[in-house]
Amino acid sequence: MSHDHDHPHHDHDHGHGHSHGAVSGVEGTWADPQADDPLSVSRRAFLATAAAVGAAAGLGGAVSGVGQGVAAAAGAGTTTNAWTGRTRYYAGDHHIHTKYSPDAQYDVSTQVIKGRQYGLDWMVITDHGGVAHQKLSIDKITPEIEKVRRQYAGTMVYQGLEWNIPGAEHATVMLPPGSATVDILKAFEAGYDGSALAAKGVTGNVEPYAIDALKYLDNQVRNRRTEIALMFANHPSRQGIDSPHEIRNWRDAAPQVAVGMEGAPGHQAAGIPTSQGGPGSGRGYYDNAGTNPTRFLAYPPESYRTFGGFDWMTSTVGGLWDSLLAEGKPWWVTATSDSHRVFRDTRIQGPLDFNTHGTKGDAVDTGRPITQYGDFWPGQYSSTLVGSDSRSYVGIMQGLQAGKVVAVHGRIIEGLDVRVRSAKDGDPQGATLGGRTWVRRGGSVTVTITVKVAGGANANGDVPKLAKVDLISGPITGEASDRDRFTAPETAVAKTFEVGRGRAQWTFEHTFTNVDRSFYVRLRGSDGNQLDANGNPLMDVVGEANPWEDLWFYANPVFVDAI
Amino acid sequence: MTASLTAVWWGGAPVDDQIADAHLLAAVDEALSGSGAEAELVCTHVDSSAPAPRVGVSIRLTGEPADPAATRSALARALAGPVVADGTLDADVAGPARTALVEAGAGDAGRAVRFPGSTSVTGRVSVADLIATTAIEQVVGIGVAPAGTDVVDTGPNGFLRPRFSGGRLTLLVERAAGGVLQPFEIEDPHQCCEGGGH
Repeated sequence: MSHDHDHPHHDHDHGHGHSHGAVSGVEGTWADPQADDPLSVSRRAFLATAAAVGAAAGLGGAVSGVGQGVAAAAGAGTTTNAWTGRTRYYAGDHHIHTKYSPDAQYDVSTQVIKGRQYGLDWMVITDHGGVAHQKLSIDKITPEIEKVRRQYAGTMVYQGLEWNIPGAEHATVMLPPGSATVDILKAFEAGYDGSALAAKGVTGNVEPYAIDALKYLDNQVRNRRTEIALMFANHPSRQGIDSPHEIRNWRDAAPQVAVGMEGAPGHQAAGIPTSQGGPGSGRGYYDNAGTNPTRFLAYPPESYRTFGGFDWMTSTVGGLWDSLLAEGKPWWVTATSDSHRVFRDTRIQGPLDFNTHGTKGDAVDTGRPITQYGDFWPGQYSSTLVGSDSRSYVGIMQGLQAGKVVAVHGRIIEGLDVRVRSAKDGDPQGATLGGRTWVRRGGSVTVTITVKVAGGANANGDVPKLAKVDLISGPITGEASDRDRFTAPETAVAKTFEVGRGRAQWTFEHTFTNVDRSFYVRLRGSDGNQLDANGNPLMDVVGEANPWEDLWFYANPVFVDAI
Repeated sequence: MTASLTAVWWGGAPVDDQIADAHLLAAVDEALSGSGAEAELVCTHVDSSAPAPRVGVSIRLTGEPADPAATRSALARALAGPVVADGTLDADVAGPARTALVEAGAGDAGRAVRFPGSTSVTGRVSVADLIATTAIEQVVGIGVAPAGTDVVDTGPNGFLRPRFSGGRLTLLVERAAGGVLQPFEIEDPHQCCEGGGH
């Protein structure tokens, strides 16, 4: 698609045009099939520069109530991620380990073959950052990834990194294949990985290094060494060490790079009870009590557990994620496998010393299923659906960057079309996931949801039944004065739609009338098996949380400006 | 040696922020060995007064050691960090030690690694018995309201790490497999990413 869609108030030349260029780049230019045309390179470079300038201007103090960033960039009276009704989703996983992590064991090809088998279109290889990985593993895995790309040309295999964020948790860093990709990854890891920094004796308050790291990646885009670079914060609540202000600082330091977090962590098989032959640990390995001295002390005990398999930041209505969205700024959620060692696989780690070799070596088959492993294969349970106009490395990443993203467990849904519009009082075309649209104050906004339910069995052999879809909404209240805020008390479930049986897809609609404040909407859905009295997910019980018996999806927001 | 009616509290600042509970207790016991006093309550605290948080330790002794200065020096060597007695007006007291003493005195924070009665508990025990036989003053559930008859599975080693909250030593519990409760902090949580660098 392009930006030539039909709505009369599209205004490229209003006061926020500097940032809007970035959105045009995502929507209209980079994702075009013609984007690979060399002639378009200069155009793309221009847009990348414009995006960076826009972000810098926003940080400089000209920040309005809605702030800077992709979704906010368009300002009032414009639409981003315009609804087309033709969104094509690509399933993927941005968090996968191999034998080039000290605690994992598979070949790249094993993970990719499994991911393909479970329906994934794209995967990101994210081995742990560290001294040995930076020195040894990158050079060893690069040709493996290149070989797998050639063998399975229909699957996009990104080379990435699981970055130890200085002072915080892990994060996916991903780049599209390019002549500088490996050089960027190496330099980034050497300069900014928390483990590499610690080995150099850098201690104390290392939070500023995370900001520098993200700006470094942003600069690689600006300097045209890579077309795009993205970061997602992984398992953000696991140890309580991703404080709200750190997340806000990452986002604001590089809004085109730091775009989201795992809404659901991997390791989802870890909660399968021992009575069912499982590991009997915490779902997502979220079983600690907050003992890390660098944790954010105000996080409540329950933040260290998952709820319906999703991280507390995402699964709490009016929680941390909503507090970010209520600022009117983009921050997207995903679902990944974090696959290291797979539940019931028969292999154990290879025998090599990781620090010497940068790999554990080939996994060794024991011939018997190992039930202590807590992970699934890529795509076996978790998938991140990304809407993109092109089946290309950059196109998928642009979809991720733009928030056209749905986090899905156990094939609870197969597709989701969301249209938010004001037919009479705003943009009749409207916006879809991750986007922004507008309405005149006092007007009405209609949300139309078409959800495609599972048309067959998931990897557990069950045909999951979607029971309900919740439409959640909250006002956009502007930049948080307290950077450590993690609540959005006005965000609530606006409407719950019950889903029946016997149809391949269901369409629901809800209209917000007399809209007088800017707001956002987002969706979640469930199989209805494990709900509290308010329809919220239950806290997963450590040692008793079979993930197949508790399925959810979460869709990313659409922002609506009231003007 | 004079018996004191008021508790003797010491605060420490171990150099190792990730000091394992067992190492901490071993260091404390070794330093106090033969001093005439024992550590009956040992808590860890987080001192956030500096940009990078540090761990502090509060220790309640059964009485004043025979040679307090020498014993404190021995403990300071064991922790590789300063140790001070409560009531010390020394402005140079390291932040973590001071925070530990303040929080322990007020009973509003601190994670108890050892507390009176802690060694007597193993396996499954009722909420009422925990309160009756240990220094734990209340049992609070996360997502569940524990009754006195509810059973808490403390594991084969009786692992309990109650925390001070609102002046009371409080054990947080949650539901566990098999219809029992378990302490929110368990002995062997999953260790992420060995070699991951934290």
